[in-house]
This record gives sequence, structure tokens and C-alpha cells, in this order.
Amino acid sequence: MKLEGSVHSPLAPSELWDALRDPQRLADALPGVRLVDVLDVQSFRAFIEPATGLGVTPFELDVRIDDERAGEHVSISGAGRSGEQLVELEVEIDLSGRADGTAVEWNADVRFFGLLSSIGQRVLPHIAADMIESALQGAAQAEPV
Amino acid sequence: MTDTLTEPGIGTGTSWQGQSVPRKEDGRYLRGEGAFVDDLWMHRMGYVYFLRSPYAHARILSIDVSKAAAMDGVYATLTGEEVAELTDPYFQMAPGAANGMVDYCLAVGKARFMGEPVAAVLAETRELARDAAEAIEVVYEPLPLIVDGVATAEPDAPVLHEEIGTNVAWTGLYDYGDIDWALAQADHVVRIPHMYFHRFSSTPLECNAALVNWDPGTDTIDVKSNIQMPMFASMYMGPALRIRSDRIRWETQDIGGGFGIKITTYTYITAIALLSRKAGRPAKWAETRSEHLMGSGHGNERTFLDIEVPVMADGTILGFSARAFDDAGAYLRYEPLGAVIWSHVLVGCYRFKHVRVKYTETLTNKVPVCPNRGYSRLQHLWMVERIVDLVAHELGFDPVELRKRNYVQPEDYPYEVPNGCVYDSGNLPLSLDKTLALIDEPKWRERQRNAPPGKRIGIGIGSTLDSGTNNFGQSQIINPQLPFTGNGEAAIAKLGFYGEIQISLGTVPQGQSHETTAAQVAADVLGVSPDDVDVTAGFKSLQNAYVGFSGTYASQFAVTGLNAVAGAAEMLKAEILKIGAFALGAAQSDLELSGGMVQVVGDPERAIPLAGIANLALANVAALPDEIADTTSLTCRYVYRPPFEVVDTERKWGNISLTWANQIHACVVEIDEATGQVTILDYAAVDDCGIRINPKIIEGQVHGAAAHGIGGALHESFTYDEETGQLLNATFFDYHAATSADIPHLRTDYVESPSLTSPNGAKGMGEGGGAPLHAISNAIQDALADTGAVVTHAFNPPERIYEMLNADHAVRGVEVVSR
Amino acid sequence: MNDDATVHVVHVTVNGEEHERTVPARQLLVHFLRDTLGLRGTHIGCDTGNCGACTVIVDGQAIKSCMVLAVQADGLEVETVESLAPRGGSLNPLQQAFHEHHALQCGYCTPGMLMSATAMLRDNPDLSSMPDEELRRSFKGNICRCTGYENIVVAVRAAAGAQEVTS
Repeated sequence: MKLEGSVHSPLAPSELWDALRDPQRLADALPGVRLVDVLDVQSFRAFIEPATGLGVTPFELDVRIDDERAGEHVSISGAGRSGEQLVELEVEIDLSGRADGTAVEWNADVRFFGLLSSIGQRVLPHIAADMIESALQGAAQAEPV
Repeated sequence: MTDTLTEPGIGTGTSWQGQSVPRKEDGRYLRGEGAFVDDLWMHRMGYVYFLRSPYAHARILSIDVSKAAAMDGVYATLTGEEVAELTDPYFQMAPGAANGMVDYCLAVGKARFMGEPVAAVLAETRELARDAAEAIEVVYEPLPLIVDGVATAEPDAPVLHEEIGTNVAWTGLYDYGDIDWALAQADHVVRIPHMYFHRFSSTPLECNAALVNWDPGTDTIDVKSNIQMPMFASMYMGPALRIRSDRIRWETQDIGGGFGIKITTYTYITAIALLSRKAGRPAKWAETRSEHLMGSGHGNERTFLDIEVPVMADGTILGFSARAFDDAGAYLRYEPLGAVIWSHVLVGCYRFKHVRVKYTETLTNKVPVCPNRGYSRLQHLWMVERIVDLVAHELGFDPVELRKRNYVQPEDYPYEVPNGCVYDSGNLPLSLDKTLALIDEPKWRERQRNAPPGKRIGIGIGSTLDSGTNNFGQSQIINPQLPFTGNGEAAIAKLGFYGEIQISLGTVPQGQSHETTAAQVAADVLGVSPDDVDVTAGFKSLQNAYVGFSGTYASQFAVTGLNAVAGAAEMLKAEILKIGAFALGAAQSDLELSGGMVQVVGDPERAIPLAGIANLALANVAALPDEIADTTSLTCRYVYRPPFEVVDTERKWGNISLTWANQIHACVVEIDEATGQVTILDYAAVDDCGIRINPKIIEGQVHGAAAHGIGGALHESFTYDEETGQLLNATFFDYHAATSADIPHLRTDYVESPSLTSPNGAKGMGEGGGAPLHAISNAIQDALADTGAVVTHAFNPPERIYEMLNADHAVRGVEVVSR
Repeated sequence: MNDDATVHVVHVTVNGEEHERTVPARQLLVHFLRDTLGLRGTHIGCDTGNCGACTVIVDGQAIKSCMVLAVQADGLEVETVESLAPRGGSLNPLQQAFHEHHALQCGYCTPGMLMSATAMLRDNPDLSSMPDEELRRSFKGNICRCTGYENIVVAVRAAAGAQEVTS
């Protein structure tokens, strides 16, 4: 499914960038997300428990930074597993400075595999979009260290 | 005086046949005392759960079962790697490259459809089996996938089976008459570039299940399952498991619906047997509905391209030409038999003389197809009926008159179809008139003219055939090397110690009332009431008689099963009379069977009860003369063999079915223009299945087939996501099996045209022929008559109808070229 | 495998008989009835609560026992298809009507249909003024793939006309 959205942050692009690129800060800021492992500067594993009307479907998500330009752009890909259900995603995030902070534009391609793709077909686009937005909002409001 | 075995047939004292005898099997179902597979239990058994591929197409890089195997209460696990060592690939019916297709009971090396089983767990409880399966770690490498059944034949499509190098499993040309001559002669040619019949399923309410025990002591496999064709499964499983096929002992009792969907489950049963052997325990499996929808089997979907129909000025349709692509899914299983079975009904109900079909069977990353009520024929019959309807619509003919002009006429039977099939009997014009009378067609025409604003009313006719009793020689048209011809069914008739009559069948009923109709037939032959006849519930391979194609499928029980029962009962009767003649000191020709007694006609004092006959043969045999004792056992096995011949595979010519029942349906729909919603305002079905053994049961089959067809036409269609290959309706939330709110009151009537080829004059009829799909497509077409829209899909949900109402029809789905 | 936190003791009355059992928290009521109590008449046809094969009556209401946990039935009264006729005894008027009107073929949906019909007839003993469309809608939670529903509708109407259904 193709998703897109935008988020506004009061932080300047470079501050926002620091928050985005720190998986621990992101995880701390987001409910239902637990950072499991930072494998290297390009990849980490998180444990996500998005709560939905169907209950909690805990996902183990491997995230990799494929491409980045500091303060401007990051391309992320992820592969996740919850029992027999799988998810694959690619997210492109673009930052541009504004007088009052940063405008964040994102677009994503998210694909679910397994029975979940059938059961969740109506709610998953919203849940996925919400989660990406939440992650970006979390970074957007994160306290600078 | 020689005593000959009288041929079973109508006229041998028919009194129970033809009556709506209430069902013998009802009691246990009404009380909840049926024995369905999941009701069974064995000491020490474990529960099976299959781990399935989430990907439609992926290499399996590794499977790690260690965490699952270590869990307390997990008895065994199984992976594709083990399966490849322990078993050989299943036998393939296809010729050529596809014959080399490697098909195992679990995915080996690659998963080829979403839901394909890749590993299995046997554990103490069903919940633990599921939890353990989740702990199995599979690493997949996703591959490009293809779900389009036509595009998959293109050279650049991802190949599913590298070992055969192509996604085309079979291709053949069926060419009869001279269609090019007909197209050149015709006053009009109607061209339809594209039509599509979708995937759906009868979804029996009971899912597939099996309780398998590979007994270590005797090295035999006991299978209690709900598979509809167990002996066919033996033919596949024996070689695959590298064992004698008779090491597999089958037992079925109550089956919650089959409709063809429970034929290809031998793959699951193979895996379960391996688990049972590995663990040394019985293994029970009952799939969930979502597993059933993802992983058991769907009905064939078929795309028709470049249809051309030559029509004369007076409305005579000369025939048609078309290309057909049948999408078999990821493996063949029962295919490519479907590539020939449609030709039982090559010309539908019509007298077309010139037919050419270029048929291609393809492979895609979807669950393999399996026979689905009306198997392979309903797709073709829908197309034929749409052709007739569009000819009427485009050329301005009355749809009723056009049909009557082109129907096979009552005086034409037996009617030889251009491919050598011989339609046995029927009266299509009468059936059509009766259908129209049932719905009171003039009334609805009036309502159509005065439809309220925002609503459109349409009336559609669906003519269809139900070919019954296959000649398996048809398989040689697909592959001349296949050693399959003819057909048959077996039955045993026995007398018990006190004269009790028992019948057992080679058939495997799933609601078709075999216990009742078999009792009716036996009762007529043996002069008792059906209450006196015990028909064994279900099938046990060690006890029941069977032949290679025994089972319950393909609309044949009334012919093959019941003629086998009649034959066995006649054999038993002959033995009874032989013993009775001795006991009564009379000639056999002076005796009759009546009310449980053998008596001298006209002298009821000289009689002996069946109990006395049984005693003489079974416990008192020294009292019989040698020539009688040597030739009677009171256990009579009879195989009914339909009169089939070997087929001409060069010309694709021959009689490949025995009987053709027909059904004519009429449907009145109301379309809401704002939403595209279809409401059925009236519905009628007239069935002609020859001599009717039990009218109420036959009517019940007509109702059931009608409901399946209505479901398929308006509510049920499997949809795969093109990008991810995911089945989007993998539960009953999204696959809407038709409910009582969707099915209208069904008016029914009948015609009885006795079959000339079946000894009891009856015809198989359970599948129905999919007439609702034809009738509803045609009714929608009628309702949209003035819009320019063309109904080219068998599935018409509100979205499609809305689109047809609102699209610009500058380029229409049909074109007429006239001289 | 089972720790104390995942099992509960429940008291359920089924077909007039009281049962006390220790059940896993995740056990469905339908599995409790079939496997724990051995009442195999209630069937399973789907995993999303759509098909109605598992219909039983709990505290007077027709419910889908696959959508209820066994622990939720604690303290409640459950009626299953086995309660409609005594073992070896006569079929009740509803069952008899199903038999007479050929309202079953494979028998798999039948227990659920009978329990839905029983609950419905208790609330609506007189169906003579209920239009067909409404009667059919009342069964939409019970899928049948064999009969096309035609004879089921006839049988339920006949049962309503036959005599009062006892509660």
C-alpha cells in the first residue's frame, strides 16, 4: 500500500535530524515501541506492539538506513515478523527548513504478507500511516539532548 | 429351465423409486450424533498444524525447527527437506514438460502460493501445535510473482517451476466442423474480445480434516478423513510414500459437504501420515476456515478471448471460435483434466456445428484449483449462454425465441455433438416454457416497463447442462499415455444371519442421501420396504467394494452408484431365489420376493422368510445340494460399468460422458442505480434429470446448486493482490458465503426425460451446471440494455454494476459485423 | 506448559447438568463443549464467527460459541443440540419438521440451525405474520451450503405452526 503524509516540527532541521537518527531517543518517545538492538549506525531492531481493535499484534522489525543526507533526506527499509505474518516497508523522509521549524514530508510503501494482509486490509493502511506519523511526531517533539 | 440374471432397470417392480421417501440418515444429524472427522479421537493422538508461506513466491533459504521441537509436548516436526528425502514427487497427468513437475506434500526449496504449507508440527494440543509452529524460523527470499492467468503464459513472466521451464501446463486445439467457413458464410459475426469467469468455491461448511495413524506394528496407514475420492488418493499417495497403495486404509463416515473441494487433499494427508510415522502416534488435523480458503483449493477461473460467433439472418447460430486460458494456480493436482472435461458440454444446449477452442492451462502463484461444483463445465456453459444472450441482445432477437430456434430439439435425441458426445435425452423448449411460467414472465416485463425511478429491472434466462458419469478415457485426450478409461462403481448386497438386508457402497456421500436412495432401489428389487434395508454409513476401503474411480463427485451417483446397488441386489435376489426354489420344491420362475418372504406366486402358504434362506446358506449349509452351496454366498459384489469406449485421441472425439441432465433457470433482478446493488426479485429453476428416484432429494440438490450459483454470481470471488500475491479474502469476513438473506425463494418444477443410456433411466444431477451464473449475467444485461454496457464477467458485485452504469461505452465489449 | 496464571476453574451448566472444570484461559467455549465435555454435536465451520455452525443458547440467547471463551460461560446455562431430544427418544417438533421437509443434507450446519431456530421460535412462536424476508434475515448468521435455505425456511414455519416450542 502506498502511503504519504506530512508532519511539522518546531525543531530546526539539524536538531530534528539528530532525533530521527537516534533510535533510542525515538523508541523512548513512542508508546508500544521497544528498541531491542542497535546493530550498527545503519541498522537496528525494534519490537513494536501496535494496539488495534483486533488486539495487539507484536512485530519484530529490522530497520535499515539505505540512504541519507544529513538534515535533508533519509531512505529507510524495514522487514518485520509477527509469528506467521510478515511486513516489508520502505519509507522516504524529506526535511525542509521553515521559519518556525521543519516541514517533514514522507511517503511509504508498506506490504503485509500472511493472513493479516486479509484480515487487516481495511485498517492496516491507517495503522501503518499512524505509526509512521507517530514516529515522526515523536522525533519532532523530542527534547534536544 | 435356465434362470437368468435380469438386467436391473426400470420396470422391475418400481414402487419405492419415484417416491419422496424421507431420509434414513437424518436422525443422527438432527441429534448432533453424526461422526465427522473432528469428532473422532484416538488414544495418544497429537494435533497437526501447518506453517504456511506468507509469500506468494519465494525461495526457502532455511527452516529452523529447533525451538519448536524443543517445546514440551511437541511430538514431531516436518519440513520440505525431509519430505524430499522420504517421498517421491506425485504422479503428474500432464504430458510433455509439465509431466516433470515436481510436486510434494510440503513446499520444497520454494513456496509457490501464499498459504502453501512449508512445515508441520504434531503436538499434544491444537493450541500448542500452533504456538510451536510460530516458533519455527523460516528465512525466505521473495521472488517476482505472477497472478494473471493469461499474462503468465508470456515469455517474460516469472517461472514457477524451473524444472519445467514454463508456466504453460497444457495446450490443445479443439476443432470441430469448419468454423472459418461458418464465419465466412454468416450474415452476422458477433465478436466479444474478452470474457472472464472468476475463482470461487463452494466452501463446504466442514473444512478438510483427517485423523491418520501410521501403525508401527502392521506398517499400515489408517486414515479417517473427509476426502471425496479416497481410492484416487491411494493412487497418488502409494507411489509418493513408496508403499503398496493398499497399505492405506480409508474410512469416511459423515462429511459436511464436499462439492469437489475435498478431492485434492491427499497432499495434506501424505504429510500427516509422515508425522504420524515419525512420532509413532496418531495425528489429527482439522484446518481452520482461513486455512481452507488460502490453502485447500478454489474453482477454476477461465478467461475467454477473441470470441467470434457466426449468426445467420434467421437467428441460427452456427457455432463459435474462442481462446480459453484456464488458470490452475501453482500446482496441477487434479488438472489438467479440466482441460478436456469442459468439452462434455462443447455446444451447451445448442445445435452448433462448428466449434473451435484453443485451450491453454496455465500456472500462477495462487492456490491450486480443484474441482468445484460444476467443474470445468460451468465456465464454458456460462460463456456459451452469454454468447446466445448477446446475439439476441445485439441483433434484436427475442431471447426466448432465439434459444428455442437453436436448442437441441426433443426429436433430435440421441443427439450427436460434433465432438462425439451423445446427448441422451431432454426437452429443452418445454423446460424453458415451464421456467418462464414459474416466474410469470409477462408480469415482470410489465414491471420492467414501469420500474420506479432509480431502479432497473432485468429478466435473464440461464440454460445449462449437467453431464454425469465421466468416461475417464477423456484423460487420454490430454495425455495419450494415461492408462485410464471408462468408469464404474461397486456395491455389495448381503443377507445377515436373520435375513437382514445390508448394502454397502463404493461411494463417499457428503449429503447426497445415498443411504436413502440406495435403500429405495434395493427395496424395490428385494420386495421389502426401505426401512428393512440397512445401507452402511460412509465408506471403508477394507469392507466396501470399490473401483479405481469410486467416490462421490461428478454428478453420477444416480447412475453409477444406484445401478451398482441394483445389480448387487439382483445378484442377491437370484441367489435367494435359487435357495428358495430348493427349500420350497418349486421352480425359480414360480417364485417372488414380497414382504421379506420368498413365496410361490399365487400360493402364499408355500413360503420361506429371508431368515430361513440366510440360515441355509450361512449356518445350515450341509442341507443344501452341492451345486447350490457352491454358487451362493449371500454376499454379492457387483460393478456397474457404463458402456464407454476408448476415445479417439487424435481427433479428440468420442462419448466422454454418459448422461446429460439439464436445468433451465430464470431470474428477475432489480438494480439500484445509485449503488449498483442487485436484488433478486424472482427466481425459478426447472430440472430434467431423467427418471427421478427421490423427487424431494433431487429438488434439494437443485436448491443447493442454485444457492451456490447465486453466491458465485453476486457475492463470492477470490481476489489476489497483484503486487503481493496475497489472498485478500482469506476469511469469511471478506469471502461472503451466501447467507439466507442473499438467497431468494426458489421456485422449482421438473421435466422427466428418461436417459436412454442409463439402465435406470436416471441421470446424475447434483452439480447443477451453474445456471444461476448464466441467468443472473443475462438478467443484468437485460436491465442495462439501453446503456451500451456489456456483461463480460461472471461475477457482478455492486462496484462492477455501478461502473457499467456510469462508464462511457464508446468502446463496447462486443462488436457486430454484418454483411 | 500451563502455568497457574493461564487456567481457571469454571462452573457451567450444560443441558441441565452442572460441570466444574479447570480450563485454559484461551480455550473457546466450543472446544470446551466438544473436547472437554465430549458434546460433539456443536460444530466448527469458520474462525471468524461468521458461519453459525457453533450456535448454542447461553442464558436464553443464541450465541456463537466459537466467539466466546469457556471462562466467559462461568456460572451460565448453556443449551446445545443434544438437549433437543432425549437420547434414543423422539425428535422434538422442530427436528421433526426439519426431517419432514428435507431441511438438511450433509447435516453439518444442522445443530447450529436448530439452536438458532429454537431461540428464534421462543421469541416468535407465531411466524404467520413474519414476512419471508425477515425470517430469512433472522438466519443470516447460519450458513448452509447444501440446502439453499429453501427447505429450512419451510421447516421452521412448519414447526411454528405445529406446536408451542417448550422453553
